[in-house]
Amino acid sequence: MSVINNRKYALIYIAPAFVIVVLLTLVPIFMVIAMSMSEWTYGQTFNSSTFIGLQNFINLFRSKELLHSLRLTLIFLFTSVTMEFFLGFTIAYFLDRLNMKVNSLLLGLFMLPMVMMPAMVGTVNRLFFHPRGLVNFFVESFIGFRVNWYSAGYALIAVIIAEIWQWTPFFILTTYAGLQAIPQEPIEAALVDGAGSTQTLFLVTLPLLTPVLLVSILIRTMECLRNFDMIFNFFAGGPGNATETLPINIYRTTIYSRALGFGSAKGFVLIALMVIGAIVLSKLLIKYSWNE
Amino acid sequence: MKKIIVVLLVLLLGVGTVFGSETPKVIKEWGDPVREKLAGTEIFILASAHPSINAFQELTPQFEALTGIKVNWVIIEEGAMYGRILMELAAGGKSINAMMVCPEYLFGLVDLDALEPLNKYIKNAPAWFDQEDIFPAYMDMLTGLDDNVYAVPFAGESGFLMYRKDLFDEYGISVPATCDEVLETAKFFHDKDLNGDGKGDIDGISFRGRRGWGMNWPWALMTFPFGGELLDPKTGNSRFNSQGTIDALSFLVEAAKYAPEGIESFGHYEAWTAFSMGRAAMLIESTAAAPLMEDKTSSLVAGKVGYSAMPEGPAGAYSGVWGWGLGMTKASNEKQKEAVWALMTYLFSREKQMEYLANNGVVTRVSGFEYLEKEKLPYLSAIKDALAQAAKLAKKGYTVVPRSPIWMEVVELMGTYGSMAVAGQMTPEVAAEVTHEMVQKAIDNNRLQKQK
Repeated sequence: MSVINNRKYALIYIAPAFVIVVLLTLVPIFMVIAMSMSEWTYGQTFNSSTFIGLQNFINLFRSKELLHSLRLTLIFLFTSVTMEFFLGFTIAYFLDRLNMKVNSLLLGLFMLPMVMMPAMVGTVNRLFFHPRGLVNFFVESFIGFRVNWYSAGYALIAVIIAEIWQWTPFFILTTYAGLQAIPQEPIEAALVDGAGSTQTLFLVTLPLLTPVLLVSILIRTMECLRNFDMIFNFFAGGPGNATETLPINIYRTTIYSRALGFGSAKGFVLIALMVIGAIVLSKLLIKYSWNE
Repeated sequence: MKKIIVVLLVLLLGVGTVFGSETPKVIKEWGDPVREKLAGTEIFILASAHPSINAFQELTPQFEALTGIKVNWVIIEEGAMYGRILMELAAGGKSINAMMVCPEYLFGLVDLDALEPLNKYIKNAPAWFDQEDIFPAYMDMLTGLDDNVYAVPFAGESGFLMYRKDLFDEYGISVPATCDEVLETAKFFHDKDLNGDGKGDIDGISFRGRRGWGMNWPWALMTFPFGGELLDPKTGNSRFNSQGTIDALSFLVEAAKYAPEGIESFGHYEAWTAFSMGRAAMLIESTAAAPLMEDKTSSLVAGKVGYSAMPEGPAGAYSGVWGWGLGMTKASNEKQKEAVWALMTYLFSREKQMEYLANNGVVTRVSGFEYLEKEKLPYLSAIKDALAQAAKLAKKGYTVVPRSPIWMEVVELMGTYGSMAVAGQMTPEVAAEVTHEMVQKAIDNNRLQKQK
């Protein structure tokens, strides 16, 4: 079969999946863009909305609340994903180094936080982080005093800890799978050539593992940026606005203020953030793996 | 506990040992023409998990058997109700025929022309429905400025003060009658060593301080005793910068000093639990919390609690009412509307009330209250006083939830900045001023949109 025929068949085969992906992703994004250029009171049908061009975006840049939410979102994102990555990688690396077999029981334990609904994680952690809750029971036992996790100063830290608790296992599993899959010959060769374990880790293992790690970071970045359920059920953006990340701010604008157009403009900012994150990480991914 | 009491009462009243075993003649006579006209009609009711909704669901099979109407209860989480309602309406509103509403968003839905006025239905309701028997304050909270009733209440509550009667007796403290006395008492009990181990065992007072749907309740409740206003009842403009409203917030900020740690994130659950677990000497809360405090299976203070109406402020003693009702969507067709009303007539009627109460439904009727009163529940007298305080406030032309189409947005704003004041992030004066500016901006925006 010629190359041209191969391509023709390939196009036919991927067409259904391509159409579905376009319908499920691009169409909603275009709808958000269209809505963000309208003044639409939520609860009324779209016919009642009016086109206002870029006015919502102009208002967006005047919004101090949005800047505050953006700042919190980025703090939440970088702290959570970085900690999850380091903890997950470290645990997976030692599991691999110590030749510990991840059996179904251990796998189940790792997956337990991940399979919990984020809304439930938020609710449960609201109890755990209560000033007289389980977390403070341990904190007080170890350091002798309680931390007021419900206060404006600590609420975001509590949310980040809950996020790390839930999603570190994701990095453990993906990294461990990656470590099991990478070829052992280069590592053995490095060790034979006299490289220490630190040199082997940074010069051999990590480069081989980069594609897996980048994909994991990419997935978690996207998830983290749109985290709503957990934070909403934990603190609802409070106390005050101490945990009002961008998704919470969008919800507040869209539901409580019924400003669907303005909420969509904020949603567009979130999508833009996710796209930027995805492009940066994808470029790194291509550079370090698929083009090699 | 409540269920047991009501069941015993029903037995004493001789209603029967098996509820619903026999349909009263009046209901059967009403049911025959309804069946003839509406049998086979299917209706969808959007509601959240609530004791009254559970009771209605228990009674629904009887209704379906009587009328031939098929009832589908769509139950979702309470916090997601408003968003879901707006989504349904944006999609045309035809897939839901009735919905659970509270005063906070009722008037927003009226503004969207989404709810059918129920006056004509109520007017033609059978005598055994007895609308007059429903507490006027509860009916009033779901009535629009145009005097149209947009929902029938099925659960109601007001605000009052709960206190540890045993500790008050032990330390010779009298029940605080004024807001100043509340603060003094809270200060007295805060961090008090009750068991002599040298450590503080209790906090002075508990209330909701959580952002949004939380902090809005105590702030709204305390505003009127301090002579403040939320909105101007005549112009509908913001009055959050009125001195009384600022004083009310200052009172709560002061009270927070004697409250459990983390009060700024306390929703109703945390506020109730602090008191029911014996960690607070007083609790300013809704009357709905009282049965829980007396339930020995979930409360460590059952039998030790005293109940009192709201304390008096510089402007007097006032409380307010709040509750849930069922409203009918305007987009439904005539048959569905009639079927929804038939359901409301049946479930909300005085005739079915005892079965409803026996299934843990929340009382909203005067007669139901009188039945419960015979059992001498410790909190009933204080609830009655709180209702009288709410009626007094209504007489002055105010409600704790003003009839504003943007009140859900206001709840979020006052809850956010009120919570920031309680958390010490800003002073009560600044919080009230920012709330005022934001609320007025939201009101102006809404007006501007209407003009367009």
